[in-house]
Amino acid sequence: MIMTKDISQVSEFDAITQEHIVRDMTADEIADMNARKARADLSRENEAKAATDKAALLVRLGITAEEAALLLS
Amino acid sequence: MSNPTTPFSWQMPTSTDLVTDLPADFEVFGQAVATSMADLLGGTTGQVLAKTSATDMDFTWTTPQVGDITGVTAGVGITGGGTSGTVTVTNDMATTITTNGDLIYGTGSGTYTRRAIGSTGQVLTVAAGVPSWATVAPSALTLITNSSFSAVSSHSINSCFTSTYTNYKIIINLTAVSSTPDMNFRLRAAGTDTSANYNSLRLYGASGGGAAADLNNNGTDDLFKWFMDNTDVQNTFCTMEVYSPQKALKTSLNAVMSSRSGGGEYYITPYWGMQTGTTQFDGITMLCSVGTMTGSIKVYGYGE
Repeated sequence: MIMTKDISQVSEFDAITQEHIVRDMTADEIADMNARKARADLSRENEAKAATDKAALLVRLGITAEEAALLLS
Repeated sequence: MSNPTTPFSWQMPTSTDLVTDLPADFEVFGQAVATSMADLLGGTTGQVLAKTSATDMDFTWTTPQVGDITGVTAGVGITGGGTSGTVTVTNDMATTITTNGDLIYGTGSGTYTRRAIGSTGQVLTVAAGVPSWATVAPSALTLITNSSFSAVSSHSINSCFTSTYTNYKIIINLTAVSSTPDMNFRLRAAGTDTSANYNSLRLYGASGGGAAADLNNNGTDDLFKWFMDNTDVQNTFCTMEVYSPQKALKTSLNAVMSSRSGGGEYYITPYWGMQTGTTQFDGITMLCSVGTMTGSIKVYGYGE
């Protein structure tokens, strides 16, 4: 059986000393990562919704995306 | 005078000897002297007298061996010498060196002098016909550091922004991600990320059609959104230019990112960002919003 770590790791490299540290994330870093994931998920949902709304609008207007771009040019 | 004599023990006539015995007495005395001095006879020009054994008056005439040192004369680069006794010679080049790091260079035929060590980062060059240390002006683009990371959620680079350079170019190469993360960036100082006061403007184009722009899309605690999809990361790059991170001014940056979705759609994202504080940053962190990433980051400094 292959054991995998359920705690992600972070990497730190110093350009002067060349020291490279890889360590487990702290609780604060995990919370920060979860917050960024939530924002990313929300951003993608908004983008997907905008794309869906746009497609629906084009259907209602009866024009293609290229024709809409031509109108806005 | 003692009789026999001291120290040769030659027998001499005594005061009670008959006069008629004197010739015989002197004969004894003379023969004893001749016998003692026998080894002094002989020899030839240039020979020296050497002891044959530890016995008194036991000598042999001998010729000194050819090559025996009779004098030492100091040549170029050497001081000291002499023709008798203990002779000392000194390496003049060694005594010309006075300080750790000194270099010796010629000043003419058979002459030389010392060049004191330069300072950190200086290189040896030629000025006025002699070697000298000089500070090298930064070239157009100098690689400061190249670091790799594997299956981590974030990668920080410390000490890459210094007073040596004002502006920087960063090339990020991602070869794998474990999920579909947004990649975020934060500037850092003294080993700690700064998580506030970021502003950003992102243009966004997709090969499947459509383009968009968003302002400060990720909030104010980090920079950018660089979309990744683990089904088709392949060999993805982001180039970024960071302006004046070491100055106590607002730090701005431009970036161009590309990526490809699992569905085969290509994305291009020109980006502008600014950290509006006055922190003097010395590093940068790239973070995954989910999962892990593998790749490398190169940081270059722009010459003035």
